[in-house]
Amino acid sequence: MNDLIDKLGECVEFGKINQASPYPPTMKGMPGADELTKEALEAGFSPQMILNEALIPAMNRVGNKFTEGKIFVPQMLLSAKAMNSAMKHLKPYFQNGEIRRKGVFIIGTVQGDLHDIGKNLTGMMVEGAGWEVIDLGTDVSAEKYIQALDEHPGAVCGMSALLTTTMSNMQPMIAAIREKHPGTKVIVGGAPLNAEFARQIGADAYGRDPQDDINWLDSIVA
Amino acid sequence: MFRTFTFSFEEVCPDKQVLMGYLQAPTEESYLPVSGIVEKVFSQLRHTKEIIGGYRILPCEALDVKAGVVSCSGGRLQTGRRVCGYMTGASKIALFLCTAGETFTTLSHAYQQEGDFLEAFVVESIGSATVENAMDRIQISLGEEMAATGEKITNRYSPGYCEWALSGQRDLFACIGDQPTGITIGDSCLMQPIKSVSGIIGIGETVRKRPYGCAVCNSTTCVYRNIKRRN
Repeated sequence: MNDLIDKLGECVEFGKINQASPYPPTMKGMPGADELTKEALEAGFSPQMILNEALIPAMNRVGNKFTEGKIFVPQMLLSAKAMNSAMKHLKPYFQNGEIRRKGVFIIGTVQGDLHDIGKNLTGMMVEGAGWEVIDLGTDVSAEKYIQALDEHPGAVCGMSALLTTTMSNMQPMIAAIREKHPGTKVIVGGAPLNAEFARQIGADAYGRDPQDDINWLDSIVA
Repeated sequence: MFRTFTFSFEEVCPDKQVLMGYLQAPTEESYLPVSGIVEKVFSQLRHTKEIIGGYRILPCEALDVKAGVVSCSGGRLQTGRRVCGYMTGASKIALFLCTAGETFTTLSHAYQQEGDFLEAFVVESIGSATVENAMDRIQISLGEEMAATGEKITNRYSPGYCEWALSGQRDLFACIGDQPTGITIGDSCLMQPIKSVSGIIGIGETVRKRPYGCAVCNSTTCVYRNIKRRN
């Protein structure tokens, strides 16, 4: 029964988007995440099961392989695209409430910083892990986070910075956010940061890589 | 006077093999899909003609390393101690700007809208490498020009890096004055077009070219450092 679910998971894990997609070569000509998700729904698998049993575990494997240095950014982006091709079939079920998400994650690159590769990767992976992701983009002010929190009370915030000169913007931003939304949980990440810096600026956690973010996010809703 | 240089994409595009390493596609498994995308993006960018940059040379009037201030005839630059220290021995400074243009950002956004994340990543990476290559050419030209009069140049340093606050862009642009690149800065001091660089190069008989970038950064978790290690 679970053969279809296993195959779908493999498609996401290895970045097989659809039948026409030539990548990976070992799966050439075979159905991809797009076709298999449709097939699984038609076969009667519940959308929640497809998400929980195929897509989320697959993206978890992708995140772990990235953490371990077994795959790099391109493979991760192909997996994210395969995940998206599956998610488009599940979208109606998110909208009608049949699929429950773990929570809302508001992510952005801090004010004064335009670097968004890490932020984008994290957003894609967190979405793949079952969270609703609100991506505020780059050069994001505290006001934009506050506005997003007004619309999504209780959401968790993620902040990214690549520059040592912009990571210092995080502390006043966290303070401003918590002044309007006390108790908001914040995770920070980016190349020049570390756990000690995150602690000093009042963040709840430091995400070394996307999977680290997911592990922490999942831990706070467990 | 702002000395201007323009380039075609073919003149300053990144070397494809170097790019594949930068894109983290050095292995056969990841190389295959990425190489096809690189070829496609190169052909889309072939006719890009917006790559423009240059510099303005100003007399360096004083250096206050303790305060981290470079004073030139156009004003004061609060570069921070480290960059100011790197200017030691400079009799002149070249303030530079260079942009790869809007094309890269427009194309990247179009790909992202379609959910083509890998294509967008490739475009962004090519844009970053292209503007750095163009600036390398400008820096080489400046070095050759100065060498003719027995002067040397430092490496190039930019606001946002080496402790030079991004807000330093305001003074930098004020000192440069009128320039034809079309680069502007917004409220956050970030440049438009996004694929642009700005900064300072010291000029003098006794200035030294010091290491920059990864060589002086202490981050142990940086993705770019990990790529360098692997290569």
